[in-house]
Amino acid sequence: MPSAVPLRPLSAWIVVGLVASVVILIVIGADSYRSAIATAENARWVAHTHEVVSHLWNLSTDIVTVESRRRAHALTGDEEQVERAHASGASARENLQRLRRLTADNARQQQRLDRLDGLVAARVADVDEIRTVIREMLDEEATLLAQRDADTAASLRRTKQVIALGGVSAGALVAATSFLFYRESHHRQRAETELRRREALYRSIFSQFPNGAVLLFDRDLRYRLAEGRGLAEVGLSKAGLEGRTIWEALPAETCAAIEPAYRDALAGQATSFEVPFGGRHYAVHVSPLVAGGEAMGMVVTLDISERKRAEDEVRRLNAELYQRIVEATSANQELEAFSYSVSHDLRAPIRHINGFVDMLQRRAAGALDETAQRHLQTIARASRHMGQLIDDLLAFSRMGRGELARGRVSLGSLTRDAIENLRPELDGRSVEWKVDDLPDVTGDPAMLRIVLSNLLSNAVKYTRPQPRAVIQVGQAAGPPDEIVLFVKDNGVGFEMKYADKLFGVFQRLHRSDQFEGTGIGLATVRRIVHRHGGRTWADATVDGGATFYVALPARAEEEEA
Amino acid sequence: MTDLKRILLAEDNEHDVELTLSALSEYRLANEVVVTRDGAEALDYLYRRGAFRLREEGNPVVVLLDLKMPKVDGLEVLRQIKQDGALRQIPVVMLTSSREENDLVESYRLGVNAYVVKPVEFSRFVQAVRELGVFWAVINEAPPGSVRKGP
Repeated sequence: MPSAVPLRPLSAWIVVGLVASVVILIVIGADSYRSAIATAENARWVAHTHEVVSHLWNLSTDIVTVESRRRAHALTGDEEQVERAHASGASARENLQRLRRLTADNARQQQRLDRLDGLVAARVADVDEIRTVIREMLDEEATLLAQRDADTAASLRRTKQVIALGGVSAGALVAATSFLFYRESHHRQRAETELRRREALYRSIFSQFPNGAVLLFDRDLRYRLAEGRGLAEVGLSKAGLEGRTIWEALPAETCAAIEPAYRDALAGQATSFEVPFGGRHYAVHVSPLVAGGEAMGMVVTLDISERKRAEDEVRRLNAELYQRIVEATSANQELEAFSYSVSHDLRAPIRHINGFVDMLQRRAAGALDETAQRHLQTIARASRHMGQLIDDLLAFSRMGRGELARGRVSLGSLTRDAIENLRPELDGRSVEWKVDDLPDVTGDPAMLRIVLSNLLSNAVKYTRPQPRAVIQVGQAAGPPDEIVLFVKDNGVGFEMKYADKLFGVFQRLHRSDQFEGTGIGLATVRRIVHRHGGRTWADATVDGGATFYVALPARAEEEEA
Repeated sequence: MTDLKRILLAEDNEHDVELTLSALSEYRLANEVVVTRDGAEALDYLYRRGAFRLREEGNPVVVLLDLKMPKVDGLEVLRQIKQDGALRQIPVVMLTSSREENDLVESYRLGVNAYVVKPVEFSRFVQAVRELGVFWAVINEAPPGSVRKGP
């Protein structure tokens, strides 16, 4: 399986944003807490100040009362006034005691209390002085109270600011972080969708794998993955393979066949082989594969049954063809043997007939009448003709066999040679030769020599009735891939309706008492030309001469006649 | 008359023997012809063994060999003659019905001195044999060891 699209880690900015928000909230909380503590402390101090003030007022009242009782005693001598003065004096001392405790943390108030102690203890109290000190102490407390109120207000103001600023920035951070998170998760979702889509794609490639299967196995030879349409065709299934070892999933002989290749793949060596399975033929490719850091093996199988069948068919056809070739070769060899036999055994009796007739003629010439001598001549002529037929047939047969030699052949020099060889037949004849410039061709020189020799010898033969024969050899116009040679004579010609018969074996258009011949010459010409990949045709009118055409490929290719 | 020289003719067909002798006789060479009827006899003659062990010494001036003979064919006789140091100088002429190219090629490969296809027409056959006889038996100077008969 291909590795998934890499998931991006949560963006660092999201983390930073979240941490910053939390820090801000902690700061806000801490500040609010501190502010609450400060407020509570302040309230306590306010109460404390009020207590101090209240005691100061009481003290002031007590001292005024003591003084006024004393004055009343002094004026009236009323003892009751003295007692009341004592009572107020005790209350004043008690208040002083409390004030001393309450203002223990304030050195200035303690000093003032010391002064009050002294003033109160004096026999004649200086009430104004006492009042002045008390007022100083009251002022001091009022100042302290104002100070504390101011502090508290400042602290509250700051806390409000912290909360407002912190709240706004925390809100902004949370909003930004949320946006980032949304974007991140959106991206993730898209990536996961893509991942799922691609996984589905890969899975469908494997499960739809045509004509075969794809398998993955681990080092225990346990199938990790098995997919492909070919599984069902041989009665296997994904469920029957995945998670099972080869020995659990497959027949023993198949395991024996595939195990070495599987082991090789695990050792890093790929193998390809063919194996029959479930009545079909499979090409199996086993190769090493590293998946998820684990060395595994991958098997790809392809159903090659059709190809195998086709190959078998080709093999069968080849064998058949080979058999035919063997038969044809043997037939050809038989033909060779037959030709040899004809050549040797058939010619010998003909030769004997001819030889002994000749000896008979010499020996008994005087004893035989004219008719008997004519009969002997007929026998001699017939045996000669038979010999000629055999020789021509053998030559014709040889033209169809054997390899064609390849070479540059000068049609001009072949023509000159052929004319030279015809000299003996030209005795007493008047023949005008018109030989044009002739091209070179590619072909078998010996065979093409026979072509020209046969065509020219025909021309000489069939112009015999002409007092003045004209034979022309030239090159005719033709398609660019052909070289067309013609041999034209002013001889007896022939009827065009027989033109095609001319090139057949033993086909003759004239009686042998008019023109001797075996009817093989033009058949040999056609066979040779066909073997060179060319063609032959003729054009003639009765008593108007004949023209024979030979077209040879400009680049000769061998063709079977 | 010039020295007459012995000709060895190996030919299995009696008609061919008669025709050949007839042709040679026209030039008075017939009496110098030894006829063997197969390749084995021809070799016996050349090696003076079997029926020929008592024959006089000396090699023929020319051997006329038919190609196709019983027992040992003409090509085999040719091969043995040309492989034998004592015989290889004897001129050998293949005188045969066969026009087969294979035979022609094989004969020359084995060292034949001439290869003649017997013509069907007797007059031409006579001419061919005459020319052979005259050339090899009369004109050609035979190698040492050939039989010469005085006049």
